[in-house]
Amino acid sequence: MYSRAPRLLWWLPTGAVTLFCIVPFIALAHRAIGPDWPARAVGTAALRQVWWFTTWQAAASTALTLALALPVTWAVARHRVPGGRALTAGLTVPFLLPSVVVGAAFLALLPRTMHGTAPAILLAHAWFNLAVVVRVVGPRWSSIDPALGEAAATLGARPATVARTVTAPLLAPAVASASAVVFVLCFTSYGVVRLLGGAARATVESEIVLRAVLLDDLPTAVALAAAQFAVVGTAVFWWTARGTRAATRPVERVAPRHARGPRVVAVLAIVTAAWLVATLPLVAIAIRSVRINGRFSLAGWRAIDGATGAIGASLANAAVAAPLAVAMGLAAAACACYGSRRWRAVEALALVPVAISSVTIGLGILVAWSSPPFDLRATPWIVPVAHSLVALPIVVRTLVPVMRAIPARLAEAAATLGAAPWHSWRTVHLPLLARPLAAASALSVAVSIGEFGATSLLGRRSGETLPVLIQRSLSRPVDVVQARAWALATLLVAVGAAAVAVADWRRR
Amino acid sequence: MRTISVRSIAVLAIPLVLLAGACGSTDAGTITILAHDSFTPSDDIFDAFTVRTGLRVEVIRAGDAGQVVTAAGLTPGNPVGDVLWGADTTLLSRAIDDGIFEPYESPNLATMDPALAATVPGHEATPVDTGEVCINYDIGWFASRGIDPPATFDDLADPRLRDLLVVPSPLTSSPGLAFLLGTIAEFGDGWETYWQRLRDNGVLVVDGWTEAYTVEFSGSSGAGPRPIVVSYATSPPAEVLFADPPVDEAPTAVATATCTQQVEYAGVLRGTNQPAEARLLIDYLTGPEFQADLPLTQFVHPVRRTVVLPDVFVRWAARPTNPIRLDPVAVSANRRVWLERWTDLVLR
Repeated sequence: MYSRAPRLLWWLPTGAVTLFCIVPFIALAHRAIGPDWPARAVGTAALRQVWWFTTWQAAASTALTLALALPVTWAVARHRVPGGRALTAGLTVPFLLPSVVVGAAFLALLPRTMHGTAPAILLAHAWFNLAVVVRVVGPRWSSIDPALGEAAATLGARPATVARTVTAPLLAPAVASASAVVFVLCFTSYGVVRLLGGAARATVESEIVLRAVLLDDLPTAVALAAAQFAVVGTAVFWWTARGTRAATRPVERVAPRHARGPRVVAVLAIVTAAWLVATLPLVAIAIRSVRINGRFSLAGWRAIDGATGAIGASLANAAVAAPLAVAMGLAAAACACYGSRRWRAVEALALVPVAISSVTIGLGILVAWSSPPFDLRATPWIVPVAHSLVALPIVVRTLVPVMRAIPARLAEAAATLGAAPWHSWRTVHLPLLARPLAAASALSVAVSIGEFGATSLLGRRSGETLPVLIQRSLSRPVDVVQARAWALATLLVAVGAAAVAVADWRRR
Repeated sequence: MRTISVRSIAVLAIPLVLLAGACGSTDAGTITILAHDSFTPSDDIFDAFTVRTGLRVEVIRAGDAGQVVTAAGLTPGNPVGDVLWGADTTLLSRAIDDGIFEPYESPNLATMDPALAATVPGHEATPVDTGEVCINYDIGWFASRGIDPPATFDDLADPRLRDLLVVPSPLTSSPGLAFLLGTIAEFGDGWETYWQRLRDNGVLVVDGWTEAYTVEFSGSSGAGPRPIVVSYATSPPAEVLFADPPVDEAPTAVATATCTQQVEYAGVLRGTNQPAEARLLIDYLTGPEFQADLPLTQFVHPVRRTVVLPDVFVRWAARPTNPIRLDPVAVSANRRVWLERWTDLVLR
């Protein structure tokens, strides 16, 4: 129906990913590694231990995230719950926070016996990624017509049978999609593992940073990055392919209902628990901003006047990065959903940024784009562009399941009535995509505001962003400066929550 | 159909405009410092330089010191700025080996401790500040129990002080690395035995300085369980300077025999198209105005000996008379081996 769309749009995500991920990675690999790289990546017992730990913690974190997030998704997506939308926004806020803040907040909340343990990592990962599941699976779940289940029930199916034979197959693609994103985010996790796992635990990503930056061992770092790309890329594409096969059942948007009977209790209990889980670490952050030496003090808040520049810089980045990410993601999703089979390659390409270690991309851009007229180092827009690429896979994974589920006959009907493709897309498909687009925008804003780390390699001419300022303040041995860092983190939560709310609200 | 083409042209145009913007040249009156994220002088500190030379100073920050040096080392001779600030003792000889600096012998070297000036015989870079990483302890914790606080490295391995020490990992923390290098300089080949003893004595290794000092250490805001921590010689004055309400006594103190000196360097980046101006900036960074700004904005000691230190620094900052000095060449040659050995010994 929209088969012209891929031909018009493919270049946007393809060009950006090629220029800013693939070319830099190849440039760096060409410089640093030879054909022996696979052996180098797993060459020592220590490195094999890193691979093993990275893999099992990612798998366990994904399982825990799903176990916690699916009930919440059910509660908010299927029912008209007071505060349900605010909860979805609240769950997104952790995405905004630099990992040093999340780490310190968790260290403050968790009993000391849990410091430096694997369960602490899993809990933090689950807390981080709840929003991914709720936002990716939610739109799909809310679009399943309850009449399907009711019909099955009328024919004598018990609730468990309905869940297994009706709901689960319809949800499977979205769940697979969300799991893939969560697994990959946990696999490449860096800050959380370092802060909560204690000094002895390393993921592949943290090992890459260690080798590239501190140990001056670029060959091993790039070999690890190449191997990580192979592993993560395979996982993502396997999952995507499975999701695609299962995603053919057409469904339409259905208004959520008020819960009735015993369900009310279940829904309210789940929503309340989710609110607690979502807000507890945030409250811990806010409390630390007003406590100095165990007493209440506003000195930290009085000291934040210098931070307006950092807030402005963060918002300016997000204002460029989020629309760019959504535009690229929409184009990639259109290629995947409206084009023939071969156009799916564009979707696959759009997922590449999540599989390439970000520090490697940062270093690669410095190698590949350092000569005039294409000297991109420290140009004002390279950082937001990098942010948009970090967000791109999340945007694509949010849009594709819903877009694929829109029945073709809707657009065909519009065409029969004489609507041009663009017109019918705008009036028929776009409204159905409003919620996932809102989610994608919100997640992109959050990713951009919270991003801290590898893109800093690219250099900023403008002032500090909020996460950088917070990180720097937390590394000063002064209570007031520390309190100021927590005040700024609280502010980051507020700014980010507002940005997420605006993104959600605009396209509601 | 018409609408589609107009819109897609608009979409096409955006990246092209962005690319065009990237190709604009910088104006002639600007000189650029490439620095790490912790480079935080006073806002107006370069005004005097601009008045004197007509040059505006721009700062590009690009991550921590290790990231800045790593990135600069990828394209030596083709720098993104004119001057680099913040290669420290552990990074200096790598930066020199990578060929990122252009030698310059600043007249201000005469204002520094000759031993310090001599750390870069080829004058590829110029010392700009020093700081000491030392064992800090919680005065109240030891006083209330009537136990003597630690004074030497050996005390830390004494069973009397079992399970009391927390250190940031040298793999992920700059003070952690300085402390490890200090123990290697102190014990020579015996450093592995020493760390085995520390491990047997219950040393806790955490990821970064922030968790060590503010979460696990008992003498700071976190009120953790461990009264001994690896931190800076300037940590006690910082505790006093910013205390609210004001306090008369620092709650923490420094074991001066455990101090290891870290030196930060700045250098002219090889390949800059304004080398003369870059040299002027090196002179300014080591000159009286900038050096006097360092103690209270970045908590480090100026290298210029004639700078008058602020009172709070004189009173509370420990001045180790003879800190351990590291040899940048030896550090660069052995860093990887040492860190891999340390990881095997302490973390596995």
